[in-house]
Amino acid sequence: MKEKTKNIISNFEIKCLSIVKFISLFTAYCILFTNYSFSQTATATVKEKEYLIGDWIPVDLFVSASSNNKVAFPNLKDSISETIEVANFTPIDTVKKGGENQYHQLVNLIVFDTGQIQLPQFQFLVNNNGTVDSITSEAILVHVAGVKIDTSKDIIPIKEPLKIPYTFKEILPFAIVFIVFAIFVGLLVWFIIKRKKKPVPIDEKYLLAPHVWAFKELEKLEKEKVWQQNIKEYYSRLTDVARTYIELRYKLPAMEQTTEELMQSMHKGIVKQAFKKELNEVLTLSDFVKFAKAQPDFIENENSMKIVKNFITKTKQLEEEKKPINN
Amino acid sequence: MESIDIKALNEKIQQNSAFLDLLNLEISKSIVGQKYMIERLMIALLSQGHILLEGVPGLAKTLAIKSLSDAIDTKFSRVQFTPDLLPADILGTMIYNQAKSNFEVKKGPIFSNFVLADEINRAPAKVQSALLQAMQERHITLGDSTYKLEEPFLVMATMNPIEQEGTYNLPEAQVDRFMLKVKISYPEFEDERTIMRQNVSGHNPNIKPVISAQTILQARDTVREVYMDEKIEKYILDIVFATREPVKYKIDNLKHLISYGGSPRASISLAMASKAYAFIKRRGYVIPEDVRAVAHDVLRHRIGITYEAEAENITQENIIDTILNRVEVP
Repeated sequence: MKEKTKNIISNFEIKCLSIVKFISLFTAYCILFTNYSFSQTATATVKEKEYLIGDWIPVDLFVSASSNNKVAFPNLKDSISETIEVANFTPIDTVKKGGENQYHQLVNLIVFDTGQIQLPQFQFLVNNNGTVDSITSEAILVHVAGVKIDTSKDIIPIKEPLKIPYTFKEILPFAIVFIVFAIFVGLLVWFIIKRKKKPVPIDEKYLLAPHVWAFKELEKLEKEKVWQQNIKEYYSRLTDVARTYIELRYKLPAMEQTTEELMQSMHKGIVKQAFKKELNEVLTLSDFVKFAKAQPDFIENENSMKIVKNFITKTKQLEEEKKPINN
Repeated sequence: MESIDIKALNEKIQQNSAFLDLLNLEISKSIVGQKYMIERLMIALLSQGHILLEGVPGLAKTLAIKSLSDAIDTKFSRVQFTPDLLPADILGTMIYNQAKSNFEVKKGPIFSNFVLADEINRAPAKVQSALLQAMQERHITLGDSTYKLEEPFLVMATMNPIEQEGTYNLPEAQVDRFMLKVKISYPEFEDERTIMRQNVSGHNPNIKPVISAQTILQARDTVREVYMDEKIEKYILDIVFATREPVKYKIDNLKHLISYGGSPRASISLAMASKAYAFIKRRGYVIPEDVRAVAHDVLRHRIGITYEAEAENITQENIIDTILNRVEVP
């Protein structure tokens, strides 16, 4: 009886010991291999299995990994294969759940083929303290249908692009340019009108009769008593009046001609030789004063003035006598 | 301001310019009907300038400068410019003397008082450059030594306006160094008859020296003394500035015809040539007529014309005429 009891105890002890052993090993496993307690999963899913050619196929990429790990999603380009293109994709969305991170990315693919199409596997890289593992999603099979063409009907032309009404945002830059341009044109017109309105000063010599202007200038010269102060200026002004008078009266470029050239221009048909001879004397004397420092006496100065006045009076009379005949 | 006695200056000029009659008389023994060219040669000689002659062959260009040289008792040399000419052919070079075991200077034809550079545009740029540099600086460096050119020094270069093939056009910067560019035309009918008779008879007049080089140098000093009033100075500057900025002088129609105007050297040359012209006319002061008389010769090679001007057959002469007719005379 005692032996039987002994055997029963030993069996019970053995069972207890094996349970304790299991619990100890499990605890040790949990403590030592915490990092590997979460499984790394990667999936790629689509909501539907039927699509039309050219449709966006939204593929949901999902990765679940430990928060200690770093996950790299596939680097998506414009196209995956000849018939599958990437339309767009969202940024990676990370959700923390306990000790793991869940990553989501929505990738819109377009398939330009029909039939059963296998969307490729997506490969993700998981970096676990320097150790890089790769996990791959499963391939997805979708059916892509083509557009049914009704061959019994005629081919109709391509539809015009839809006309979308302009928004204020779109119109604004053009409106600003137009307003600025309108302001610029307005200012330009205003400036031109203002400038036109401004009276352009017309030289008195073109307003008065040549002899009237000439006598007025000579009178001014006498009143200012120029020859008493600056003989050179006196003769310069005196000859300038005579030359300008000739220019206005006979339309000769007297101001741009030398004395000799002027005398040649005033040939017999224009001015009587007697008038010309006296004027030549004054112009020659004036050249001496202006260019050769000549100092004529006061009699010559007054005489020069008389000759110029005389020339203007006589030529004026001559021109007036000519007028009725011409008319 | 310096006081100038014009009367005394006039008398001085009357005395110092008396040699001009003698010179003209002597030169006219061999040169007929080229009074204009002789007068321009005298202007260049008296105002220390150089002269560029443009004219067809056979217009007595060489004879004119040779006669001038003979009449002044100076050295004359002639260089025929060819494509294979080298600077040393004009300036001279160092030659090794075996007997003395040293290098000796062999002076070139430029070491003369009057140098005729015949058909200057037939030589390449390096030769033209060598000559024009000597003209400007009036000294030559051979080896380690620099030699001053003997005064009076006058270069008369010729250019043939007809044949342009195989020629090297003088660059604008170098043409500018010539004080005057004179265009020579054919002699008058009666003058040509005299030339023909003179040559057919075989009578070669012997030109004798009538004045010395010293007389010319003295005359040059007197030319510098010729009085130029401020008004004339302004007139000269107005003319030169009108070649640069015609719009400023209300000659708008010239704006698109002129590519570049006269340089400051044009103003200097116009002033000096006007003084020399006044001297030749036995005057101690410059008048606007003097400026106008030399304006074409001073400015024609200093004004650049545009393609538009060429297309419209407008020449430098037309431009100068327009400017002279539009700029106010003082």
